[in-house]
Amino acid sequence: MPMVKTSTLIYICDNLDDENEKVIDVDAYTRKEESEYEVVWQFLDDLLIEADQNLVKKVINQISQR
Amino acid sequence: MIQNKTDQELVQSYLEGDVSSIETLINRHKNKVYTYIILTVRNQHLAEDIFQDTFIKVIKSLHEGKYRDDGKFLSWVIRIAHNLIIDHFRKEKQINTLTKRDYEADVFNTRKFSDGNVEDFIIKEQISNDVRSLINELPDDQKQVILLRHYGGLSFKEIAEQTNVSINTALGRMRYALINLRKIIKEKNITLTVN
Repeated sequence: MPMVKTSTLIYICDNLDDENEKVIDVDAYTRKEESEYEVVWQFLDDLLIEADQNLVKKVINQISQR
Repeated sequence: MIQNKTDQELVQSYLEGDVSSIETLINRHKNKVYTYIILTVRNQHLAEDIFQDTFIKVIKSLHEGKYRDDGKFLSWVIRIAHNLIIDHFRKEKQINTLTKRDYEADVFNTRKFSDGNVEDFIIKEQISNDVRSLINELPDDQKQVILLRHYGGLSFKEIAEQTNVSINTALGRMRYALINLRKIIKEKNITLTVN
């Protein structure tokens, strides 16, 4: 079976001209990628920092004054 | 329900005069955009300024018809934030002059301590700050790729264009970032819980 790097497959899927143009079933590879780096994705999700709601209010105020 | 609308529907409603639509849209994506900015600039006050400038520019660009809907509104916003960060550091000529200590002190000192159990809050804050600082153990080029990919959802082609490198380089940086980050996480045995 021909082997290909997961990152190469991700790139191909990212950049297909037609999203329906599936040339290969990547589910197995995607699951492998997700599982291999699950700890990293979880780490990055946990890292999400909440933006202060006042910042949104300031933006809305600024556009309202225009 | 306005919350059920897609990004594009909210953009359209806003352009037709409904300001609440843009507020919903900003609220939907604010945390990812803010996280991308603060992890990149490592200074809370600067991050807040760039956050506001980003959405002001987003709104201006929407009015000018510069947004082409391809279902990737967040990626577009992150690209605007990224360009504003680059512009800022070009102007200030102070890339990498902020120390980790500046960043941690800044974030820690400006948090609100009024709610809940103060001791728990401080411990959680300390853990969060420690964890956040780990991302800065990655080389800047690797950090940039992983943040653009994870928070912005950019494709590798877009990341390559945004960071002026080849696609192969972007892919390589992502791969090394993932490997390094997993190693760092394992070494530090990270947990975000307070017992």
